[in-house]
Amino acid sequence: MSRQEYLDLLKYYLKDFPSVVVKDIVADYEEHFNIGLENGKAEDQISQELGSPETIAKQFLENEGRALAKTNTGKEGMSLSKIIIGSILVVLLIPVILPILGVLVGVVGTFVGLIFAIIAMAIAIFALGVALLLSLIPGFLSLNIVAMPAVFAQIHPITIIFTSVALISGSILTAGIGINFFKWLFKSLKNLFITIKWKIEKRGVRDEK
Amino acid sequence: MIVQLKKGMLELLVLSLLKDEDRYGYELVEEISKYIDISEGTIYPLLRRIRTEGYVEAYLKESNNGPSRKYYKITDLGSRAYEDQLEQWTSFKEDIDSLLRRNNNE
Repeated sequence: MSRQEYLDLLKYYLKDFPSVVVKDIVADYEEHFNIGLENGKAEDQISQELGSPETIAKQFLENEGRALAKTNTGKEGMSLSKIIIGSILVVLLIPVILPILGVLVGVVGTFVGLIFAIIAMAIAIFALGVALLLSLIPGFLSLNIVAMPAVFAQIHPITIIFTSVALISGSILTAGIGINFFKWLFKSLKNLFITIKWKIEKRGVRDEK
Repeated sequence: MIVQLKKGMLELLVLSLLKDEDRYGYELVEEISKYIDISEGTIYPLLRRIRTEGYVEAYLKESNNGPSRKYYKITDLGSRAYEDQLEQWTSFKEDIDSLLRRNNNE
């Protein structure tokens, strides 16, 4: 495998990581290839000795998983004094914390609201399409299950069928877009978290000339 | 079995090499490969992990020819981890050996 192929594969298997992190990881392997080439090795040989890019990517992903799990459980080891100092700090900082908390709740609330709005919109459009279709069944309107405006009865049946299909398709599309939007949102938030963590840990790397 | 064993031992080997002097990734791989056959690419995830654990620090240093290289330096915490792991390994090795050779002693 050539150097370029190897690095491309590695990038591919690291695709769940934020780009900053991928760049950092790939830089290490670029360095490895450069030194290997300087020492007279062929790209093929270096790739072979490095081993499968998939295995390597998996180990990086495992590392991050472990680190995330550690941050979550790391709070158990709090001593009593720390808790007391923490509580005092919280009381003192209430005037500062409350507005921040308010903003956070507002932001989260906005997104939750948006989720429900999209779901509701999809359902409403879907229901309208189904209702239109049902209105084609003779006598359905007279059953008065759904309050259907009388004008609907005057629309041509073919128009109604096409409109319903369009509405139902539209609702599915809306739901799909909604789901993908939130998947994207969730992934971006996760990546933001990993990037911040990565940057903080990287403080140790300094230039020494 | 030997693959898993090597993977588990790699951390101790790297710490041991860094005890002597600061080294860069390629150097570590080269040194270890002299003794055992490893999948060389796995060194970088390991270095990343022990850096997160605070066993080593990384810094960039320019080489004579070409771009700077990332050197790793062992920390006090890393030295303690090394002593600890070395002791664990030594006693583990003895236990396994005495178990496997029990029939010879009878």
